[in-house]
Amino acid sequence: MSPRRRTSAAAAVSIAACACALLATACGRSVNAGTSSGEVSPTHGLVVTTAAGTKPVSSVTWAVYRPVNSLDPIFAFDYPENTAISLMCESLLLQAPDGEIGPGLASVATPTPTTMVFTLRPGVKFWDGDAVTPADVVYSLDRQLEPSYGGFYGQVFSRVKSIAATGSDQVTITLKQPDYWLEGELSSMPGIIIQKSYALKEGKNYGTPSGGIMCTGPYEFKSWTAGAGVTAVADPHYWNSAVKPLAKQIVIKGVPSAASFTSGMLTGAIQGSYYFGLSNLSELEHSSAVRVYQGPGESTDALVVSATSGPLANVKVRQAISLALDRQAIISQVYDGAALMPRWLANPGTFGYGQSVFTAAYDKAPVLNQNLAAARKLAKQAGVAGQTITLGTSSELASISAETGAYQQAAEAIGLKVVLKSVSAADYINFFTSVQARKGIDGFITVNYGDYADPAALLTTLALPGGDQNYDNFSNPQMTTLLDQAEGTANPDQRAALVAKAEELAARLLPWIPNVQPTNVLMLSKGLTGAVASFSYMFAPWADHLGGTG
Amino acid sequence: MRWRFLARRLAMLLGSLLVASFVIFGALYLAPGNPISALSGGRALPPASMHVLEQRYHLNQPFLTQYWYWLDNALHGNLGISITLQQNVSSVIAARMWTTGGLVLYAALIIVVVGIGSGVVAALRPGLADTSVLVSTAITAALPSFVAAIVLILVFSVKLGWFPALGNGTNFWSNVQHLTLPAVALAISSLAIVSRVTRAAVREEADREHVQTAVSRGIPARQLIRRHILRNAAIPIATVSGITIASLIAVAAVVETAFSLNGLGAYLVQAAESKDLAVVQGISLVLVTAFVLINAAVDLLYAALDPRVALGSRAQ
Amino acid sequence: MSAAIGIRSGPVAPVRRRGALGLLRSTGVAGMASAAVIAVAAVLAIFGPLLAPYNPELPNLSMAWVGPVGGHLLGFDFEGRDVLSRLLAGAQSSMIGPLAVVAGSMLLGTVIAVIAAWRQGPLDTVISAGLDIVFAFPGILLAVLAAAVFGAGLTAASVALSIAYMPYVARVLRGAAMKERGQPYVAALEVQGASGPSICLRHIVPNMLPLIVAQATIMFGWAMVDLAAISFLGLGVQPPAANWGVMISENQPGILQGYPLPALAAGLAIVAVVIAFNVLGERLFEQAQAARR
Repeated sequence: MSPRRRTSAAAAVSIAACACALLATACGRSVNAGTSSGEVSPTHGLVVTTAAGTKPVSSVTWAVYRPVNSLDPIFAFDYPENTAISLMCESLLLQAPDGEIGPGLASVATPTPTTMVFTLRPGVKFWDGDAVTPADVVYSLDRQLEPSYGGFYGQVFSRVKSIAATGSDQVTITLKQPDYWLEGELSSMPGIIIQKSYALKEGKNYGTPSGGIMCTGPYEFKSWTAGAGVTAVADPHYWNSAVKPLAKQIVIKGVPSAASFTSGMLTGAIQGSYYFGLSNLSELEHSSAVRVYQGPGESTDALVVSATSGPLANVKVRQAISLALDRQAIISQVYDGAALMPRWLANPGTFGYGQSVFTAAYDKAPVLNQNLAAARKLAKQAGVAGQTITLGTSSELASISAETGAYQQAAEAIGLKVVLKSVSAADYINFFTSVQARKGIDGFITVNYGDYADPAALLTTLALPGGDQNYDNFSNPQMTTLLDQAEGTANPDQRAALVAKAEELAARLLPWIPNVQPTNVLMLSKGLTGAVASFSYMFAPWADHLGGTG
Repeated sequence: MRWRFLARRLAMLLGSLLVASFVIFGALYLAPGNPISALSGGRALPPASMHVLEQRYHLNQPFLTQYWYWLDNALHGNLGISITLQQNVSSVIAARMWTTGGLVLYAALIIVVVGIGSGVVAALRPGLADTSVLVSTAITAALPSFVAAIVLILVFSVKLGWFPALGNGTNFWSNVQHLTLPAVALAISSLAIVSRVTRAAVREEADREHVQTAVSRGIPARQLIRRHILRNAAIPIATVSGITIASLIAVAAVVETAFSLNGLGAYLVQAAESKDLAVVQGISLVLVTAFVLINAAVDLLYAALDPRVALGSRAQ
Repeated sequence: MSAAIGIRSGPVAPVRRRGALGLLRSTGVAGMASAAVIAVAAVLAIFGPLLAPYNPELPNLSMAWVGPVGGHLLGFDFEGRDVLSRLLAGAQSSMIGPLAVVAGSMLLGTVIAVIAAWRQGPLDTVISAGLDIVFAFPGILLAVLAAAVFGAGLTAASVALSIAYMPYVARVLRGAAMKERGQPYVAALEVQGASGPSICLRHIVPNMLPLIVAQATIMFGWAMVDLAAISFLGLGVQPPAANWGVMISENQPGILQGYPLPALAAGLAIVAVVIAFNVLGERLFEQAQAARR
């Protein structure tokens, strides 16, 4: 054979050999090797905290699903920003890991149903040593309301008449009507207290990489760079001497790729995270390098309905899609078991008060199981066969992609056509904030949450006219009455009864279509412990007891 | 004269950079919609921010004036602000430069050592060595870097566990570890070309008369290879190595994405997806400049190595 | 008259043109095998979506990552879609883009090369300088810039790559065109009163055909790699559309999780077709070079 022929022949043989070898190693999952189906029972087996750390640790890298884009609490409405801010800043009232609301930087008294008097704790100070004054409190709350700032939480103050300093350590909020939700909100981002003089000095730069922040928490802001993330260091002069932070430094880093995140946790490059929607969670659970905890979740995985016309604007179509949706597949493929089948829009982890009332009503509600026959019947009644819906998605976010796929499946099963519009991971949040981004989009997946442990907290944002997440102009008089009444009801059990009724209504009318109820997943490197395991990490300090294991 | 040649090359280099920067800047105007909507990536901005953008980019001035401001700023290190990160583009670039630089350097090293080495071996030892080099280059020449990436991850990371699969390292040594598979993926298809050209060039030189004469004179092989063969074969080898290394700059973006490295290329892609135009322009400018500089360096090397070039600008 | 000017009579063009089949046979076993692979790929590009046994775009989440079973030879991908069907359907977008890039760059490049070679002088210098400048833009970079400006998609990427490849084509063909230009028959034709364009179109370009075809073939391979890379980056064909580059990026997480088949299958498809184009292109190139000597 000529040398050329020999080369070619050898090349062909080796290519074929390589190909066969590779393909041979490429086995797949077997059909029946499913993972656990979602537990229906609410908080069984879930933990709220982890054992406190005992040893100092020099640096902890904490992963979030994309880089933080603001440290200003008025712009914090997504996981990365909340995680970073709750680490370093504190609010007027405090959410405990079990969802209960208690004193934070201040304690509250309600002498009359329309007066809330906040008394600052003695000794609370900012990182620069200055005491927290009523002026700081008034300023922090006022900027949440100020329309020209464009803050996200203006809504929650809708029943507030005035906020004023009424003493050397007192601030009084006067309400137009009783509002029993405001305390919960003030234990979350709307209630974060920042220093007035610092914020005025920085102006528009407050909360940006160049402006920094000035807060009161045990971890102090040190630096913020693209690529590296937000770095916070333990504050040795923290005002609360009962808490001694053990981790010298915590870096909050954006890791959009679930694969990179997993790899990082397995190799120890990332030491902790509350990352959710990991389809290979069991890989981390089985690894000896990582410990995985599941706590009660407060978030709901749902399809936001943003269509004001077309098939999705028709409640029968939404009900049909909901019946056609394969939620078990989402639980096993997207969450690898770390989620529950839904009955309501609300996650049962949000029953922070009136538990007996809520649980009784919840247990009576039907589970949203798949029923293709019923789905098709409803769709036929609605008469939308062959019509198209457009779903927003991001091919960069694996879990969003997969769930959008599940909706594609469901929609096609009832005769609808689906068009996808994909944006980058950094841009996905624009679906929530920009009317332009939502143009032409009928729906998009969200894993959404209320600001504190109350089903109403999330529901009001989407089911009340003018709600800041009400993108499809949903309005139902019965729903509005129930929720408005609940806001003004003092007795927790009575409030719970009203909210439960609202949830039952939402489960029928489907302003959003609930997918699954994620548990709160906490992952820590072996050798680390002490982080909060419940969803309260989004609103209250979560690393106070983070440290090395003994 | 050599100087004339150098001066011409320098002029071409500046010309390329100028035109490239013009295209990169002008892209803003090619974008559908107006420049403000392009700069904001289609996001709704409050009027105050829009005003800031107008001021910063001098959008009320004629096109060429704007271009001049932009270029002037760029030369002083001010490349604008990233809309998605709210940070200076230059600090974004500075943070990620080292990853990309390290990756390209590592890959260049592999190309030079393995590519040239295998080419020389193949040329001077016909038979099994030659055939195996030819076969492997035939296969790897067609291997796109991202396909190489997944195969490398599968074999060396997942199955064998020798290297980490994704991400950057934390210190120098772990950086090297993390950059190894990406560097190999980046180098692999360029390796083939360099190896082939080296083999052809060395072969050709080895057959030359003066080498045959040296052989008949009994000069030792090592000296032969170094002084006679490689010296003359150096020109095509250096040229093709330089060109392939320059092309690494663009392909690095693909490898960085595949391995989730936080390099310039990966961020360029993310910025393009988010329509963060200021970042895209800034990083494009940096990458094109690097590309042109490396090509210019190759030309200079060529001039230094080839005495015939010095004699005239008939190099076209 | 021809004898007086000293040109041999006979075929005006000095290169003997063979039939396509003859050309193919002269490229050897490797060349013919490659041509066969290319033919299969072309058939798939046209009929792929029709040949796909299952719906390539409908997800079935409960079947995600399942291995080869039943009628699904290559198993399922990350959204539970049949991998084989997606490969077949993806052939179309994976091959059409490169076709457009090759057509665009070859057309532009040939025109520019022939003009530069024909006119020579200052126009040639200017064109060469211009080409040098366009060389400053690596193809992928231009495509990323185009995606940022015009939005991700196959069209923007293909146009950008055509522009980026054009100088390379022009460079290679300019040399050949110049050689043709210098041939005696061209002078003869000019004397006979034939116009520049007609000589270029009727004689010079056809004589460069073997080189053009060889160049186009090799270039198809490069364009395929570059376009697949751009789709892999998320800036070309958009998911959920089937495309080999997209399939690799979509299914990459599977490699780490122990389900490498979907990504590998797509990778293999790309490599096989690119090798075929490279090998055939190189053989054709050799033939073209040999024919000219």
